[in-house]
Amino acid sequence: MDKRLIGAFLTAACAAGCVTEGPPKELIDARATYQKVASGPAAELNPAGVADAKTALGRAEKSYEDHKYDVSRSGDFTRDEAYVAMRKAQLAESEANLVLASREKAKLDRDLEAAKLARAQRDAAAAGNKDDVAQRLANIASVKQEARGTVLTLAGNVLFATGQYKLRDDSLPALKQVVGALRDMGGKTFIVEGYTDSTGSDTVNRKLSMKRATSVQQYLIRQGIPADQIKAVGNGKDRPIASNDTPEGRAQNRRVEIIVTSNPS
Amino acid sequence: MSKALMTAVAILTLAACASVPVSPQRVQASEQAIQDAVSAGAGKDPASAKYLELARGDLAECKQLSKSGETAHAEKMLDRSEADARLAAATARESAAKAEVKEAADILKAIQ
Repeated sequence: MDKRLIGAFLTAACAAGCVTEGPPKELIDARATYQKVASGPAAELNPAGVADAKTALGRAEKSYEDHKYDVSRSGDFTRDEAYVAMRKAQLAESEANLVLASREKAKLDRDLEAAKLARAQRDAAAAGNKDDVAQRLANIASVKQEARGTVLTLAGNVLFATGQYKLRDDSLPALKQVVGALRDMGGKTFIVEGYTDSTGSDTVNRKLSMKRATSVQQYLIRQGIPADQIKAVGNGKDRPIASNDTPEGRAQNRRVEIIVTSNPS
Repeated sequence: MSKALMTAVAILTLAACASVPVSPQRVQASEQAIQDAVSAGAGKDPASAKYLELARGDLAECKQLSKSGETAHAEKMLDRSEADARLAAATARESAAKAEVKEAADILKAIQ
């Protein structure tokens, strides 16, 4: 082969090799990072930062163009220019993220204030409601806290005529208040227990106490207390709360108790 | 071209080739950027600490290059150092803000 031809071929091959080397990795990375950032939230939130990154990338691109045919690469700082351009794009993104985080924090702070206020209102309402319920119950029945729960004691002679188990009509307004108070308690179960004094046979007393407890239970159900939350029990003369030797004591023992317990969950 | 003009061109060319150290103000600006990043907490945040280290490394290299008369290269290292330091400061602030967001979200969740 002609020596001149070989020389020309080698020169062409070298030139082709130099041109196809392509941009340095730093520039490729900087372009990709800039594209990502410029098409993200930073475009709107941090236009100045994005513009700064664009200018820096422009410098890197120019440096690359100026030196891409220069085999010696002398004075070629394309890699450094690209490195700075990438950092500026990342900076623009980070500054935009800071704006986003600040906005989110401000929103959370507002939500937090609203939630605190709502909770304070709920707590106040619940406390007020609780006080109110306790007060209303105390007006119509004696209320005691015992191990088995809150015990409401209703006097038998207020609810029933002697020997009867049908609720007296004049007891209904008071009983209605009991219902309201019980309903407001929410999430509770109720046991209605009927009691008599010790006069008369145990069998009769037990039956009468059961029928009286059932009368109250049915009334409460009719008034909207869920049936599965309320039980009736007849205890007869058991568990007297006063002496059966005096008329006053016997009157106290003739009673209906409503035991309020928390719902087992 | 006249002799005088040729002489002037020669002098200017020589002056351009002579090594001029990197401007101390520029070095100071880069050092200040590193200091700002440290103040923003970049040393404590892993992602930012990486950029802070790069900034320090670039600055050290800049000083080295400047000493050996490679001013142009030294200035590029200074550019890199400053860009790294500014990014370190920004990412440290971003991390701190995100941590605050998370904390507030956790509190809100607990209250609701």
